[in-house]
Amino acid sequence: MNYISKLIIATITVLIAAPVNAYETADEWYNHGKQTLKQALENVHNKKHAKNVILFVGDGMGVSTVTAARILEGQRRGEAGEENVMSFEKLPYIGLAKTYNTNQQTPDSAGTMTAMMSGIKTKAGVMGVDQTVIRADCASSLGKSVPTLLEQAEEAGLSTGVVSTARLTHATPAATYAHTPERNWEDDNDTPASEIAAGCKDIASQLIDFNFGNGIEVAMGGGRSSFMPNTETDPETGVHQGERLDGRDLTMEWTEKYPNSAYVWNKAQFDAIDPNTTDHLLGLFNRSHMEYNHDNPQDLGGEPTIAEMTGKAIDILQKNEKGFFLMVESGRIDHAHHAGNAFRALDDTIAFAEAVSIAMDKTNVRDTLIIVTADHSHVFTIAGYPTRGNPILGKVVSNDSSGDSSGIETLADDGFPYATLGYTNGQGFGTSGDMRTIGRQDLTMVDTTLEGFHQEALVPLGSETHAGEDVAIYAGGPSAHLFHNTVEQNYVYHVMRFALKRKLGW
Amino acid sequence: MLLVASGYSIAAETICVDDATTFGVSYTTDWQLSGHEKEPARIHNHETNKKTVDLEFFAKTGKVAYLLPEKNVAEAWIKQPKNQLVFLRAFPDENRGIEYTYGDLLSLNVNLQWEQVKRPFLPLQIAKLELLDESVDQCGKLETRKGIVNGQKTIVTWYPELDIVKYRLVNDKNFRVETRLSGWKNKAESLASFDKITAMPTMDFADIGDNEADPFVAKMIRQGFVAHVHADGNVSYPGGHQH
Repeated sequence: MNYISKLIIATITVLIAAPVNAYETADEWYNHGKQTLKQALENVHNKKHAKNVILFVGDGMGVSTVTAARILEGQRRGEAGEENVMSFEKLPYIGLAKTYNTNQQTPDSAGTMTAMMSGIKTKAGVMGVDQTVIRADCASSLGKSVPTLLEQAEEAGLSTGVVSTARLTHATPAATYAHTPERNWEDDNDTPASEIAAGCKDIASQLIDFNFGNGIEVAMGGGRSSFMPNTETDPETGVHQGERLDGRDLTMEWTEKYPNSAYVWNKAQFDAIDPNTTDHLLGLFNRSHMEYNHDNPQDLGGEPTIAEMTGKAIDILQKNEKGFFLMVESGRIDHAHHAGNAFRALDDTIAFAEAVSIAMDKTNVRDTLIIVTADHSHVFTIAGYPTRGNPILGKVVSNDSSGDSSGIETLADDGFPYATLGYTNGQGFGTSGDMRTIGRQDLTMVDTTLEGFHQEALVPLGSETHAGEDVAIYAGGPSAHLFHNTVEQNYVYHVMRFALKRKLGW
Repeated sequence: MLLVASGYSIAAETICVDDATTFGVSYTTDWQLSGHEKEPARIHNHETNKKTVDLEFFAKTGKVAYLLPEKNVAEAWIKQPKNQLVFLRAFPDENRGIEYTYGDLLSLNVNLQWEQVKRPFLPLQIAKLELLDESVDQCGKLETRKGIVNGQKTIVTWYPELDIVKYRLVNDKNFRVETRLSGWKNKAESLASFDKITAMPTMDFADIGDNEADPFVAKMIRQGFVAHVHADGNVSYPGGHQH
């Protein structure tokens, strides 16, 4: 039995697996509600200690993103979509996290991930340091580092892993292992010489020089350039150089540092890795961020999916009888939203849900705490009154006066149809690269479901922004019941720490 | 001969290309509005309705760069395997740039081929225009062609073996655009220019959203430099792209 089968009582599983519209009579809706209640009543808090903790972070995966992705996932199976349940929505506990940074109402990923990994809120733009630090001021950060759960897990003898579709040196993954007053100091080419001289290390070098426990077992994602010297040509593109000025080849240092280790940069090498014989795996599959899931087939060297990386990471980590901590980030949900491209944001969210599903399959709910959350939201909305089953990426088709689909696109007051999905700000409407189109456009002849469509936006900005509302925390396994209300985001760390208290101390 | 009619020729002492794979050219473009249409914002000049814009173009195997000295911006296209492109917009005054990876371009719905970006002034379309004249000058074989490009009457004299325009006149009912090749850059000059453009620290387009507090990013967003990548590859310079 896998994680979710053990987790969810058979009755509710039957309901989830039921075909679309299976309970769409009054009696069936009523019974569905009763069954859900029964399952809730039968649910027993797991107060045991956790052996393993997996933290999934959908970067920018606000509640509206989850809802829209849920519908899209169902619609891709030919269903209406609204009734669909994504993998992590099957986890039995849920709470809300307040995401603000100590200095920003609407947060950034560096401050939010520090909250989740170190148990304290801090400023935007800094990682693994407290809020007294001045951003980009090395001197102010010295002595202000705060330990991360990953470091503590390593010190306790657990195995650890970091997986991301963004650069491994990007804010979310980096906040698991790095301490810096500036999130953009990803390599020594990005870091001012004066700040290096003041005693700060670039983020990539911190990953390789990591000296807690026996070192991180798994690190996979993008960001290869920051690990290569600028005298070396990128193996994938053949036309770019590495970024490092200090001459260090950090990929080589990884394999020299760890026994039974490997470095891979393409899908074929990834597939060839035997988890049974590999104890430390570094995977850098792109110069910068990995591709959006939709564009994965076009990657030059080939990239594993986030689900494949998650599966391989767990296979390596769970060799340690003491247990493991793994952080998995879907980093490009955020980027697609910033670009105003809902198609790719939702597609990456669905891929993220597949990764959670893999983790559920490979672990046991009795000893593994799985948390799925977001660092922050986006100004992404689901609007209008589209009829049930209306394509979530499509234009609004409302119901008629009898409550059935009108079958025709609903027009706004300006006489133009409009898409269900939109953004409060950003680049706005666009179907080509020339995207700065301000004001409402006539979408009559535009297929808004295509991958290249960019949703309309109200306030013109060069980049769509994060949003400040709370994000959901989904959880299952030991201590998962401690997520049940609205909490400060740094509370996530404390639950993970509590779940591992037998190993980490308390 | 049309070139004579235009009153333009390259000085006899001009050195053309010492390496056909690595070279540069300079252009001067004169805009003149003749109708009542609102002129393009980027060349707006109420007093004269005229503007002269300079463009420098550099080519290297698998790389091209367009430099607009007036705007102090350089735009480079780099060809990766499988004909995938990377776009770089660099700002020499700031010594920084923004890189659009192939995936970033796809997310912006910009899916260009190398043939579309490797030279200025849309050579693929020029090659389809009616051939009027063939000649030779000290820089090589020349062709003069005329026809409609992007809906506008165009006459072009170019070096077809280099895909380089020597002279171009675009006449529209509302404006007249005349472009002249004003000089050549040799291999050493071109390489130096590429090094200057590509050595600047860059930020990925995907990271813009996380860095709006960065004064450089904020400035570039305000000036419209962040999202604006033309889908036909002839980017921000007047004369290269006309709507």
